[in-house]
Amino acid sequence: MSEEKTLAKLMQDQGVTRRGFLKFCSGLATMMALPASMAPTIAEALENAKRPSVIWLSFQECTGCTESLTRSHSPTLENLIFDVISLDYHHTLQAAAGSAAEDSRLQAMKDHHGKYLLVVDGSIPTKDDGVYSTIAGISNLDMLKETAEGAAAIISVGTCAAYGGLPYADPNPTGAASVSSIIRDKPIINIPGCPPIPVVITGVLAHFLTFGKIPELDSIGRPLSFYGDSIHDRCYRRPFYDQGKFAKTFDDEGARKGWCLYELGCKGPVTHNACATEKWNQGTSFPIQSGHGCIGCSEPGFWDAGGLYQPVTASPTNISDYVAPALVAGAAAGIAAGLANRIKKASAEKKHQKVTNDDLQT
Amino acid sequence: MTGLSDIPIVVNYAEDNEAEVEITENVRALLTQISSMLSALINDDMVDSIDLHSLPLLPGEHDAIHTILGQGEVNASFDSLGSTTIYETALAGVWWVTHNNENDDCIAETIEITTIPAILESQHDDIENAHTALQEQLKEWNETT
Repeated sequence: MSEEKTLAKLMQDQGVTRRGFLKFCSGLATMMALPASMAPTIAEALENAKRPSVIWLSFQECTGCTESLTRSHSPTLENLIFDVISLDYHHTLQAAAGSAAEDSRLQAMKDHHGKYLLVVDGSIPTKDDGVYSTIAGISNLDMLKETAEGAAAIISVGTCAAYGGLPYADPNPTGAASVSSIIRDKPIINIPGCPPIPVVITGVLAHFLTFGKIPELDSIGRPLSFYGDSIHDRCYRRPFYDQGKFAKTFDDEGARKGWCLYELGCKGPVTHNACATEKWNQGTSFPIQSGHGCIGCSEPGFWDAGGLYQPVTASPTNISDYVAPALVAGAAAGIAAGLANRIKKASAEKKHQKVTNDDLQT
Repeated sequence: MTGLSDIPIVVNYAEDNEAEVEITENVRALLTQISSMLSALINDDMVDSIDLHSLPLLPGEHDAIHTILGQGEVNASFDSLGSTTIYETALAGVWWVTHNNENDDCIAETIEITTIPAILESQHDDIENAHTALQEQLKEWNETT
């Protein structure tokens, strides 16, 4: 199968020049939230990279995560499937059905035992032996355990797979559980969001392809490169928060002027995700830019965390840390910032994180 | 409808296109970083780049940076896995690079601080392939004449 070829060879066979390959790597760097200067390093890593086999299991879910994946534009879904991964099983996207589909899953598990990536979207119903969701007569619970056994790593796509999500919401009638609460002996990457940002899904897949290992994660299993900062940290409306300018209703003067939506229930201060920088619909916008507060969909238990339009009761833990720098932002942009920028960029590169204006201003 | 660009939105531009560009804190910070990078290029031959995609810019700031940096003497483009446009801004050593995919969606946009973006240079592998192809063509012609 084509996954035996390295990515570089695969693209060369398709007539892509070395220059085109370097361009591809530049796109990957952006996608993986790595500094653009790492493109040559990525190219070097990809010289010997082979497309990993991916088995994608959809459990108790709404297919929104797959819908999100199909909106990926960097790379496109076609590029992803043909160049980056070998997608050997996916209910919604594969042509095979019935026993042929299940056979393809079993074959991929056998052929790539210990090496394949298992992607899961949807939570897993555990109540009553998992009878509330089955595929081909197999409960989601049993299929997860069976398929996870030979996986190199597991990627939980969406808040349902990562933390239980909507099915987990009180009173959780199906006993919905996250992947990590069931599988304890495999590396698990959580890519929460309802749904997750397409480029974050593809970025994590690309990271595994490029570096052959999982990215650095936070305390609840999320890649730091995409979830390392809160929405509030990266929000373009943050200067208004710093100045105490808040919209009080969705149609008042503050709303029209684009002031901070904190008092309208924005969960940005307590939500970690990349919406403010990666954005949606090919980088067009994100909820706050469209005038609505963040609902915190990438956090565990977000559906039971209070009303969507109630201000978060707990203040951001480090408000004072970033209010003060904002007040002196003008001065921070002085000559002295130059050297600090260099140090921070080097530090971010080491951590595989992006450098933003926030970094430059502090 | 095939894309966002097909949605019939009418954009009314301000009458005075030469209106002053607002120097916000984000714009000032970015220009400061470019200045710092230019200094490193001059003194240490250090090549660097800024990923514009990663910056949480206010609406209008992207255009403001674009306007401030201006257009220099050199333009280049190539088509491989989609179009790429590269131009030197009015600041020598500061290049604006935009990579699009086959669907013409922007996949990467960077400001590169360098004497020439590396991706414009002929790549060793491509040169070898070109040399091989030329040799084979010459051999074929020599055999037929």
